[in-house]
Amino acid sequence: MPLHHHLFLEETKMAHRYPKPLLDTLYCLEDHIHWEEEEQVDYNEYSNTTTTNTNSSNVVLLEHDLFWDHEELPSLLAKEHQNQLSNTLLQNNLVLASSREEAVEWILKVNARYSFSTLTAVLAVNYLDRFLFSFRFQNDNNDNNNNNNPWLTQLSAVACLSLAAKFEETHVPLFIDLQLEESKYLFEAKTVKRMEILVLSTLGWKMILVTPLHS
Amino acid sequence: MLTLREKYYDFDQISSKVFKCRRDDQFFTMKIVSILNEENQANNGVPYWIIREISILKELDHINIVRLIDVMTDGPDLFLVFEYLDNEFQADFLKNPKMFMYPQMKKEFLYQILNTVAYLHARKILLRDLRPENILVNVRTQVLKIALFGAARTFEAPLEAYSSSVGCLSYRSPEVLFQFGCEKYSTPNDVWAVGCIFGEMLLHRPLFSGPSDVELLDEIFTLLGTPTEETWPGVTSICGTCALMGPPQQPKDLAKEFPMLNPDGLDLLSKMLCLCPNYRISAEDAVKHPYFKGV
Repeated sequence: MPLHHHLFLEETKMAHRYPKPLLDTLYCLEDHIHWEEEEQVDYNEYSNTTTTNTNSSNVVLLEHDLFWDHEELPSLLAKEHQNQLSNTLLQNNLVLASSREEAVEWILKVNARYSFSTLTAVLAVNYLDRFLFSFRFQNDNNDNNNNNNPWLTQLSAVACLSLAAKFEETHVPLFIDLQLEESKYLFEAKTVKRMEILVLSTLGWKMILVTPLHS
Repeated sequence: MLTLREKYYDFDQISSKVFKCRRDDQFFTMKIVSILNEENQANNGVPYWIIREISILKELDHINIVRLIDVMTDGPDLFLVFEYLDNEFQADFLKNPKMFMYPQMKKEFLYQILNTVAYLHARKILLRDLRPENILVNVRTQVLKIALFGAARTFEAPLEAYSSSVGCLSYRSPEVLFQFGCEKYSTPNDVWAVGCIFGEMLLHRPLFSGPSDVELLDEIFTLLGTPTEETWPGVTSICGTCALMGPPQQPKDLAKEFPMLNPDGLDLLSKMLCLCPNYRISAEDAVKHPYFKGV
């Protein structure tokens, strides 16, 4: 790996620790970076940071009141279980795992930016997981030489967050505003619209979810 | 995934947007909803109310609700595949002359409506727009079906999209009429609508028919009396301009207005048409009312 790439990697790692203005000047030096190579390595960084994030969000999820009557609770728990996906698929497909991590990070950032509720984020990630893990989608990926098409995952993330926001929020930004948060790709409205429809039909329009945030 | 025409065939047009179709040995009713080519949706994809409404319908499994079986997309159109109701099912059930020949059947149908409303409320779903036109009945088998699409909303749904489709006011509750323009729908509103339908079943004419909200409120208060702070705590602050209240009126005697109704029936009707939404009977409690003993 050429030296300047290596340096750049060090800097992107620092980006997680230092405030942005400090790094802006450093970024300017690197105009001719090949983004794709960085992405691959950067995933490790992401998986490390998300592990801690997940732990802290678990704490949030536990802060709810469970005042269910005796019959309702088992049926809700059964429904909740239906929506949870096994991790084996992610463990076997590391490329998918890392692009999924990145997409989840992006969803959480946008969710925070627009002060969407926690439930919106939970819905969006659930839609994304169910969509990515759907049998058809996996096959498509394998056909493409195991190239996981990072843009496809990102497009799915945009569509899933948009659907979740429309389901849960009272104000939903336009597609273009939803994509303000830094991402390597910017999709046209008609592309996101088509992806929304694909996600909806792949998930069989089952958008209501039983979560620990259920009220 | 199969395309629309691979999955369904023998299309038979019923109205401009509704088809009867077949898959294997079963018939279905297909409704076409053109959503994706609307100008105002161009920048934001599938409208939020479509997402909410269809995902709600997908969750529902109740004998008295017209079941949504499948959703297909093709270009800008959505195809909603519903269970097929044969010719024996007639819409706008109150217009069916047979309805009025058997009092017991009215009670049976009222029970089925309330049971459905209770089922929906338990799932945090409001009907908001329950009207006899959306209710179909099979007089022979005494099964009633409510067509929900276009009517049901989740509790939290914003209201802009519905405000334009005011249509029929007759079944709107006083609390909704008071807050015209910034409507706050809630479960008691649905119970009020069922109360109006109950009254209409008995009188063979709409209980209230006011062409405007002011006239409708006047009709309501003529029958049930003008609410006071005693009968409806907080009513003066809700109604805002008390011009809406009109001159105070005394409630009429429901037993004289509905001579065909037994005391249990009168009790239930008055509880469903209770002006104050907080004191109005819930659908769940109404189903258990003694009036339905033996249904």
